[in-house]
Amino acid sequence: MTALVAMPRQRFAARADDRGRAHYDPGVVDIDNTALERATERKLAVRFVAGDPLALDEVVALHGPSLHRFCARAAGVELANDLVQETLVAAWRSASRFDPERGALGGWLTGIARNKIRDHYRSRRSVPIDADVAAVLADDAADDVDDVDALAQQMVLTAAIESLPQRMRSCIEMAFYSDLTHQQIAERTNTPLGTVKSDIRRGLARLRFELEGLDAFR
Amino acid sequence: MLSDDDDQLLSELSSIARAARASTGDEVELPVFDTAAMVAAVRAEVGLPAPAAVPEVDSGTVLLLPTARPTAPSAPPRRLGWFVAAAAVVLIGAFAAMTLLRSPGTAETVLAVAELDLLGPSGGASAELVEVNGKFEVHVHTEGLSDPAVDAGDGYFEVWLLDADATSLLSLGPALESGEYALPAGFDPATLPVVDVSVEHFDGDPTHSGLSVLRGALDL
Repeated sequence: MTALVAMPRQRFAARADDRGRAHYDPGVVDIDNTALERATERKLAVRFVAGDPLALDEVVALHGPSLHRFCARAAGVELANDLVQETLVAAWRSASRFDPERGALGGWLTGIARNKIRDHYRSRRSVPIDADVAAVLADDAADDVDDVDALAQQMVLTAAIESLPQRMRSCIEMAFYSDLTHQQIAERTNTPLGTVKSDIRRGLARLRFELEGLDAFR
Repeated sequence: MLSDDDDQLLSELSSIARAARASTGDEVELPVFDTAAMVAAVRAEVGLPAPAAVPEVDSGTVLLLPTARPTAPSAPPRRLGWFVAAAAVVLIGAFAAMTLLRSPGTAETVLAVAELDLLGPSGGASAELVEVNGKFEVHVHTEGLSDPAVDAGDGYFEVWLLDADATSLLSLGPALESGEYALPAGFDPATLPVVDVSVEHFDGDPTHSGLSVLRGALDL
C-alpha cells in the first residue's frame, strides 16, 4: 500500500543558499510499506532455513497459492497439489541450501517447482517406445521444459510487479509495456524526472532479486 | 541516466513481462488451494508433528486461470486425502494462531549495510539498516572524522538519508561514534537509501550545508 505523508517542513524546507549549494525540497514523500513486507519475508526465510516448523506453516500459507497456480498452469490441475507438496517437502529438506541474500524465497520455491515439473515431463519420456515416436516425444518434451522455464519467469515477474508500490509500479509498467522514455513517463505522471529514474532503477533491482530467487542455491 | 546494465535489464524484463501479458489460452478452473491440508501433508511427510493450528485458509473462491498449454494426463490425487479430516479439526483456532505467528519478534535483523566513501579530509564510517520489532533504525559507526571547521569548534557532523539523486533528504541527527537513529513510522528506507555525513555550522540553518564528508548507499 502506498500513502502520501507530509514530512515536517521546518526541517527539510528548501532554502536559497548564498553559497549556491544544497537546494533540497523533498516536500511530500511517497511512503510505502513494501520495505517492511520484504523485511518480514526475509525474516521468515531465515526462520525457514533455520528449521522453524512454524515458519514452514507460514511459508505454505504465504506461497502455497501462487505455487499451486504455477503448477496448475504448467502441468495441469490434476497434478498441481502433488507437485506443490513435493516442492514444499524438497524445499524444507534442502532449506540449508537456500541463500536469502541471493534471491527471494517465493522465487526459490517457484524454481524448485519448475524442476519438479521438468522431472514430470522427463519421466513421460522414459517409457520404452518405438524410436520414431520417441524422437517426436523428445522434441515435445524439450518444448515443454522450455515452456516451463518461461512460465516460471513470467509468473514470478508478474507477481513481483504487482507487489511494487503504486508509483514505482506505474513507472515500470509504462517502461515495459508502452516503450515510454523516462522523460515521457515523468510528463504523464507529473513526477520529477529524477524520481522516475530512481523508481525505475529501484524497481528493476527488486524485480531482478525476485527472479534471481529461481536459482538462489548456495 | 540509467546505466547500460539497467537498460539491458529493463529490456530483458520487459520481454518477459510482455510475454506474460500476451500469454493467453484456454481457461481452466482452479480449485481452491487448501492451506490446512497442505500444511498437514507436508508436516507428515517430513516427520513433523501435526500443527496445533494452521495458518488461515483462503476463502472458497474458484479462480479462472489461463493455461499456456494443454493439461497433462490426469493422475489420481495422492497423499492428501488422509489429511483432510485432520485439517478440518485443526482449522479451529486458525485465526488466533496466525495472530500469534505474526506478532513482532524481539530480535534485530540487519537488512542492509553501507560502507561510506570518504569525501572529506579524513575519517571513515559504516552504516546498517536494522529492523527492531517491526521498526526501522539506522546505525552509523564513525571513526577518525576530521574537518577544519569542526576541529576549530565551528561546527559538527550530521547524519542524513538521501535519495540517489540527492533531491530528497531526511536528517537523522548529529554523528556519533556509534549512533542509533530510529526512522519515522511508516517511512520506507528504500526511498532514501543513501547515508550521508555532512559538516554543519552552528548557524541555526536546519538544511544540509552541502558539505558532505562521507557518503554511501545501503545495499537494499
